[in-house]
Amino acid sequence: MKKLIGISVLLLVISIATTLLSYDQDLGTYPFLSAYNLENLLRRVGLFGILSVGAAFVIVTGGIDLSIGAVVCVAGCLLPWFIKACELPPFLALVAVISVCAGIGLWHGLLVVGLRLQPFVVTLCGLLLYRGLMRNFTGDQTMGLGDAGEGLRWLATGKLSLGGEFGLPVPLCVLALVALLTGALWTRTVWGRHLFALGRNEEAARFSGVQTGRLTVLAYVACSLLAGLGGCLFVLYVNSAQASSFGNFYELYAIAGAVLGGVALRGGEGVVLGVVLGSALMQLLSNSINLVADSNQLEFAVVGAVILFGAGFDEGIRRYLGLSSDRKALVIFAVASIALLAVGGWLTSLGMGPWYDALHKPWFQPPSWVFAPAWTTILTLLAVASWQVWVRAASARIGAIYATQFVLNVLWSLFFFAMAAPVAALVDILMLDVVVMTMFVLYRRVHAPAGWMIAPYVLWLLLATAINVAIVVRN
Amino acid sequence: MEAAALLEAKGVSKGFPGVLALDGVDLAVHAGEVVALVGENGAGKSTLMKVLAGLHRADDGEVRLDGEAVALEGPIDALRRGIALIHQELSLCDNLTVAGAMFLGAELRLGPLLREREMASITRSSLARLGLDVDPRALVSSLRMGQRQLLEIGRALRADARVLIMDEPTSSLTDSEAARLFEVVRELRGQGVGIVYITHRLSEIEEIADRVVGLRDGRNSGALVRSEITQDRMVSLMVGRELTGVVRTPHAPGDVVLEVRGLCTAEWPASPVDLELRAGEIVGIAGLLGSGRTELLRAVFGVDAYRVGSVGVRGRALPTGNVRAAIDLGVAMLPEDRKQQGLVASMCVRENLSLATLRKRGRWLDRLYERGLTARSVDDLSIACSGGEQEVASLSGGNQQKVVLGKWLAAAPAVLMLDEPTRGVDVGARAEIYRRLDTLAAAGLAVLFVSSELDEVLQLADRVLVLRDGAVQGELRGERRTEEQIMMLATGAEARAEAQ
Repeated sequence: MKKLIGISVLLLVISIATTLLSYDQDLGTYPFLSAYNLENLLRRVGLFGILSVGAAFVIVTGGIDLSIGAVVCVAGCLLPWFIKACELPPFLALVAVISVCAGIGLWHGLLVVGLRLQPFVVTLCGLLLYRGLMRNFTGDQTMGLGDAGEGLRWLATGKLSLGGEFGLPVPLCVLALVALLTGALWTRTVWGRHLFALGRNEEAARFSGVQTGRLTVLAYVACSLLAGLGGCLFVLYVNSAQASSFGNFYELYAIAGAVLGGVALRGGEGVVLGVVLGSALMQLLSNSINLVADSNQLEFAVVGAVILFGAGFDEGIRRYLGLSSDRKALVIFAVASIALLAVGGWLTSLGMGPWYDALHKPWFQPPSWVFAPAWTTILTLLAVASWQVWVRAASARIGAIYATQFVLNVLWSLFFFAMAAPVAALVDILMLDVVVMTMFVLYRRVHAPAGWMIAPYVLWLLLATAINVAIVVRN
Repeated sequence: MEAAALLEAKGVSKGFPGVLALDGVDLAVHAGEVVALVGENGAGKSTLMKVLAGLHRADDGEVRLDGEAVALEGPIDALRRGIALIHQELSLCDNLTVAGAMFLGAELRLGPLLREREMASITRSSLARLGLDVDPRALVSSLRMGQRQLLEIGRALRADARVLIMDEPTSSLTDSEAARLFEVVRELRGQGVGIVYITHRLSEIEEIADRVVGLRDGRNSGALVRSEITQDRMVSLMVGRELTGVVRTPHAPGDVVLEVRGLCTAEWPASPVDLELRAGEIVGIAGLLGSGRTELLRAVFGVDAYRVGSVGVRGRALPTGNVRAAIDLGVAMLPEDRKQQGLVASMCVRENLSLATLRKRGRWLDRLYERGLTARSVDDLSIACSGGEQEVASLSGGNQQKVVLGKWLAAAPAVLMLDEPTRGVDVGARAEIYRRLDTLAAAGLAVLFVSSELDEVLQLADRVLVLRDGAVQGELRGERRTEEQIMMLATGAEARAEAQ
């Protein structure tokens, strides 16, 4: 549950950031929010999400399927061939292709369960085998549908109009259906319970009468079947498939989406909604990079970095929760100081420019290089002092005064630099002076050294107040 | 003034979500002393051990080493300070060689190269001192359990451990291996090593301990000095009252429910086994480790397939290698390895209890059934847990075993097979399990169990089958059920005597 909230927040934050960062100043529009971009993004979420749900089936059993991309290629090449060369009715062709892919899954499952081969080995060889066979089968020719199968193509290119310009892409609806069915299977049926039990402890599941072999095979079938369905939709969407490249690396998108969504690689853990959100995150990242950086060269690097950051953040939170309450307070105050430093620095950098340079500054204004080390020192001392006080006498009063100080400090940078409003800044800093001096008194009462540790903060603020007054008066 | 204790826990408290495992516990071990820690399952013994060995950090109170408070950073830090935990689940990586395991984490090196030969010779000589004669280049996986235990001790001594904490060291040892272990413990005591010893086998404590400390519900429940140590007094420390053993009066057996004919397991293809089990009977299978006891139960239950022979339940043939069919015909099995085979440890109590029977309630999850079953089982078997949603891994051994039992009772079986039903289970829960089996048999259940503990076999079984080399060597009933008779059959002493 926490994981789902985490991913949702991340999705929201990246969406907002992308919207703002990709703002087109010439046109005054937000390209991220355009109906075209959103439809495209959601279509890709649908297409890749289907693959991720398939991958999750296998990962839940404690296995892995590396052949998803190759199975996408098989579907992508066979569907046009069935329709154009064999002249099968499009719908029948779709069923035939998906059946072939399910057969591939059955083959994987039997090798893994029957011969006890490693899933990694079986599906890695599958990856090479199927793509190689397809390249030979198609002679590396591009396979396309041309004008055939128009009705079928609606499944991939169509959209359900919601009134207005924007419509829900059909693949997203297919994903919703797949996810709904999978979710019901996982959480509402005995079959799902057994699947998860086997993922956590296969031997104990077997001792309880769970047909572990059969279930594992079915998981591989489900995975390849969904990869086949996804492959069909992909080829229906782009209308051309080249065996050497179609679906390349898609297994990594699928697995990364599932794992990002909380499906543990050790097996037996995961929820479908997480998988959908995880794979949406992957697509959002790639969309975001394309819009913001105007190229996709960095795509893989950013995706890798984000997943790594996510995993690290997850672990960081876990470690944090394991700390004693004293250490937790230290972490919080340290993070708050770093945040203050970062936000203050950023706001200041916004205000640096002709306006600032033109200001008449007083003679006692320190040279600009002093500011960064001064603030770093002051805020480090503030964190340590607050922690020391908090450990000795945690109280709502201390918390409130610290928070007020934090807000007023950020607001000052905002008023003075970002909004170029020295008068508002002056009012703010006068309040901040009072608050920090009260803090000084309070801290000293609890723990004298902690009080003295924020003395530099008080002095620096008094200096800043004097500068602020001078600037207001002289400009 | 008395010398400061080597290792001491002072007012140690430790809580987990939903339970306070330790509540102000004191324990001290001096140099050259064996302190036994006794308590029921869930009394907090394992938690206390883990606090002493640095695996858990105490919420309150302190751990003192040589009279000074220390904050142990983890098991490695503890080992560096001379505290070694010999764990219940043997922790050696079994794909290493003996010498590799011995020096794991402290390899002798020459630059980047390992000084294999030197490590091997040190390993050989220091293990020889423990009476363990193995090739340092042999794989740990090729060692028997008893040998691994000695290797663990050797490893602790190599790190100059001054305190050994031994958690159920004999639970998987044969009698002779256990005897060897006791010799080593006495020797170490003579050398001034302090030893904390945990076991459910009270006779071992009588034999070896200088002092007994009792734990009950996470608190100290008293202590005994050498002269006071008797089994009765230890039991009353554990449960707070004197326990009477179960006296069974065999019931008149009913119809034959389980019929095994000429069954040859894969391990013993030349030893056909015949076996009949009647309703209301409790039959014990005795035999040494490796005599084919577990393999027999596994084959009957369908975990392993067999080629020759047949198994019938209530007149219907059981297909080979099909656990589900066995369950559906009314066979249940409580396996030997609780954590690996009996339970899905990372799932909750509710999910484990319903795992074997849920499928009989239709394709959709029957949550009402699950909740009802959980409430009934927790109440009926008095499983100590914070609720059905508690993870099974966090329960004590005895309560875990009750969950496994509850899972099978939910299936209302006709035949219940149990493999070492009380391994790692304390006296209180043990008596409860015995009583439960007695009532079940009285109600017509056929019980077949394997146990390495002879007094358990004698106390519980109406008749005893003794296995050796995969074959039934004899059946003992009534007066003939004695430890001597069982051991004679199990070791083949009688056969040799007759042959002469």
